[in-house]
Amino acid sequence: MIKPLAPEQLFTACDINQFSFDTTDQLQDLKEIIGQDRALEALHFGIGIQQKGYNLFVLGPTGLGKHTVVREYLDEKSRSQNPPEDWVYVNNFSKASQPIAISLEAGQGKVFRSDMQQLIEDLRSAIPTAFEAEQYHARIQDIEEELKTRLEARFNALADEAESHNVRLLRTPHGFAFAPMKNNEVLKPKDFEKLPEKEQQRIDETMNVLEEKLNSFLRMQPQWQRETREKIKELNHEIVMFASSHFIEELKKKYTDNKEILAYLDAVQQDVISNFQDFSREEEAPQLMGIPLIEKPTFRRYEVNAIVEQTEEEGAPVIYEDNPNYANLVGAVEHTAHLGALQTDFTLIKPGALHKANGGYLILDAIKLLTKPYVWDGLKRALFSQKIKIQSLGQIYSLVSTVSLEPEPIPLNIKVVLIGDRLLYYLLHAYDPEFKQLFKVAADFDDRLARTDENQQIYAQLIATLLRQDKLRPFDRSAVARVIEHGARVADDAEKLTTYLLSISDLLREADHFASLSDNPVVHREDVQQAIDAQIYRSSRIREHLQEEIVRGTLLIDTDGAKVGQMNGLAVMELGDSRFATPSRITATVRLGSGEVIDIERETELGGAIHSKGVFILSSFLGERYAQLRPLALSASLVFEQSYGMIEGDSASMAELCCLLSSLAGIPIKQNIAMTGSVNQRGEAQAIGGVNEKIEGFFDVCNQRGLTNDQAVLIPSANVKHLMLREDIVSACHDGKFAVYAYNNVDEAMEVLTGKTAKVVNDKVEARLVELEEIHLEYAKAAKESGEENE
Amino acid sequence: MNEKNIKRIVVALDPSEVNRSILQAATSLASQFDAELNALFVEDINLLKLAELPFARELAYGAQSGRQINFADMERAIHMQASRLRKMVESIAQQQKIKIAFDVLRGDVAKELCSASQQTDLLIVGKSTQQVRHSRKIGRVTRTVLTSVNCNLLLLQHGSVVARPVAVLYTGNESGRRALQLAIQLAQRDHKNLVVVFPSCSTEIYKQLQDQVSGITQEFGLEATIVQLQSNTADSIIDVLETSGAKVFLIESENQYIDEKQLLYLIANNKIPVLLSPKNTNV
Repeated sequence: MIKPLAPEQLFTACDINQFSFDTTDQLQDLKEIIGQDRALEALHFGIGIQQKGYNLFVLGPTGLGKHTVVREYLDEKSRSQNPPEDWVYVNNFSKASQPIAISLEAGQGKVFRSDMQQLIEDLRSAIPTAFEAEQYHARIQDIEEELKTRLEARFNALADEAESHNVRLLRTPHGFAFAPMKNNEVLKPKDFEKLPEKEQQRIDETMNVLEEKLNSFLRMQPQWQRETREKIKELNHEIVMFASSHFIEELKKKYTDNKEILAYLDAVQQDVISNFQDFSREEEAPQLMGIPLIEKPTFRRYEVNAIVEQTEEEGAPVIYEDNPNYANLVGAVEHTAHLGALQTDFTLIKPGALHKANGGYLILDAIKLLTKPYVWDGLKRALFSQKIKIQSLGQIYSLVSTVSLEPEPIPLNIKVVLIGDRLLYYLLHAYDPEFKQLFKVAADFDDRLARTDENQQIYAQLIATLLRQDKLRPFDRSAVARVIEHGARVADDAEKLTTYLLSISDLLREADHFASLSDNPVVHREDVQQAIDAQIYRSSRIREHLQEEIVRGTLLIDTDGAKVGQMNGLAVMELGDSRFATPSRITATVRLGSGEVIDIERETELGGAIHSKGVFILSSFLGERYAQLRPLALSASLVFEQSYGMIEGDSASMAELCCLLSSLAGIPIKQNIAMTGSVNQRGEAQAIGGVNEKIEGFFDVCNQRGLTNDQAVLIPSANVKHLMLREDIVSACHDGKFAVYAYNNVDEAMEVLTGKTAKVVNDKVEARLVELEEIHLEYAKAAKESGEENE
Repeated sequence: MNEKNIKRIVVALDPSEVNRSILQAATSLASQFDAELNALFVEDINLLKLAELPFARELAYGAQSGRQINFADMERAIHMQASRLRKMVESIAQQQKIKIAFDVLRGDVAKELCSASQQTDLLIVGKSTQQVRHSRKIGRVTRTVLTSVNCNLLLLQHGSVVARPVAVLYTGNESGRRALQLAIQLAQRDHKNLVVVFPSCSTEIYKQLQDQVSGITQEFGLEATIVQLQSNTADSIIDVLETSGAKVFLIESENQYIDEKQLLYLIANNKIPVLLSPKNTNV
């Protein structure tokens, strides 16, 4: 029969003698990232490769410090890189709804913005001054005088011509008329009638000719006025050019290498010429109830909207967007309300995270990205097109048809780093074909690292770094050792350490708290243990409630005696961040049948697929071992008693098998023993999860009822390396009050459970099966004879 | 000298759009002199006569060709003009809080104005209301009035106002003294500066003129800037007016230095209002 495990096998303590420091204050900060070599290699590769689609998905459970690692890595990497260009939006003077994007060298965006402000300030001073100059007014007067002279000359000539024919040009209420004169008076009708017909005809003809000339003159007048206006316009053009060209040329020289800016400055100059009136001296606009009746000219159209401003010293940008909604990611065009209407222009274009991170790195939480409407599509569209195109969702989905801005798209050169858990990565990989085209590199963060001496030293350094980051008390060696032991327990493996930094950080802070309550300047092992115990206690309400019900006999669990076909299994429960196990009674019944093993959990749809698989496996084992050459003439039922929820996993399959064998053999199983482990078709024990919690679960029940010195838990041998049991259990085992057995197969397990040798058990099982077969054959024979008689 | 020179003002209105500025200038002067103000519109008899002619045609602005007119239409149109002017006069009187009488006469415009000038101290007319806008040519009516009226005559340019500083040509004779007195009255209300222009003359005459002017201006506490003409021509006067920045110019309608031709040229080419003081006054 197998022996109980030695106390040293139940808990792998951290040897404090391996540490040369007294407290963590003597340890240097940890520079490197521990235990994530694979993820770092992937990061290094993904960031280094400059090909389309090589964006990264950093996967791993929450709390591993993925964000910190990625951020630190990218910060380090970006420092050595040149900062990308600045981007500004300026007005498109030929089509205001399509603002123009211009790139400038890093740091030059704000310089250009300031240059344009200065330019407009200069023009607002220079242009009115130029128009106020006497020379300008003299030239305007000359042009107007020219028209006046021209009009006067023609009018006077016509009037004089009329006078020479004794006709006067008169102004009538609606225009002009010619009147024949006599003695400086208009000819009276009766005098006219007295004139000879020839004279009358002559007057009529003269009047017609004069009228024709006047008509032609009046028709020419608008044209001459237009010519005058054109001349004034040309003069204004000339004056504005004179006043503005110096300033604009100066800017052009400054930005001579930037063709877009040169073209923009040309457009600015043309616009200034066309709208030079806006530059006249400001006068107070008339107002009605505080609202200006005439809109004052604004110079917003000459502003520069610097949406991306880099600083030369900062290197490539590393941006983390913690609220990646559509506008925050792709940018947006905002609106302002004016007299009840919404207005916008290029100055209201707001950058998104893609703009800010362009030329560098963008870190996003995958879950946040995927839970915000339309953002995932927006990101993919930008990455595929390698352009940032600001469009409202209304525009994209044709929900609204109002005119809005269509800013010129900006070329996108970016590495996107998505951070999320593994499930999300695999779901995206499986269901979104575009995902694998865009996120070709997966940086898979490991949640454990090997518990070697070297790594324990590094772990101590990590603890020291975390303590300093959070400004906590130093830990002495014993406290560090306890944290390392806890790290192994969290990793569920005595030979591993967790990289789940969140859990470790929490423990450090809580231990510091308990140290502070005791006024300890240094945190000791006891403080750490107190913190661990407090964590367990805080999350133990349900566990304790279940144990209480077992002790009270509401949940039927025997911890002494022996029974046929009844067994203590161990079930693990996970609720929030607490994980615990309680014993659960498994029973088996056998009767004559045709070889089926009924899993009542499966039949009632309360058993998961893996659990059912375990039951099928044990059925196969029965057949393979006991009925290779004859039929199994039994019908068996297996059930988890008092279980009212889903049961999943195969960690009880060995217990179910042992229970069944007990029932078949009629050999009672010791109820002071609980067992866990899964079985394969050959009856070999296989490792299960949560071994520590399972042992602790049974121990706590036994402890509450009073330890009888023969209580024990059977675990698969493969799980021995995972043991990091509580100190009280180790102590009880050390004192012989409790035991943990490691078994390799069903025979070893049955020996411990029944106190009989495997041969005895197997013989009895076989004998029972033979007996059942014979009964079955008799029934078959009787049935056959009965059938023949009937015939 | 404290006696009011201007007790009654007649302002001649015509259908042109410059009337509003002329009427405003007139109300301003009437307030200044505390004088009665009469607005006068003369229905041009020549237009009515023209309308009676069988071939009478009117070329309206913007029309492709002339259209036939008749007496009734013409009379109605002129009445409409008079009606519009009356409304304008009433509106300005209300605005300026001043009493303005409005009379409508029918006849030859020049003759009616001359006739009206017999009963007034100051007649205000536009320089070229019947001509094209901004014309430098003096209209026929104005020219006639200029040579016939026997009262102070103020010729207003389009859009101009009677403001200060005031400039006056002083020749030393009786009508010159009246012009100077009027200039002092115009200037002394809110502007102590007066530009007195002396003709080009001998040093002796200049001295006499200077003495006379300084005596008069000192009496009123005015500072007179004396400027002498380079030559007794309209151009020389225009130069002086532009240099001194004068806003209104007073000159005798007849004097031994500036002949009628130069006077007409001055009125035609000068940009500020000109107030002509009569040789003999009927006041």
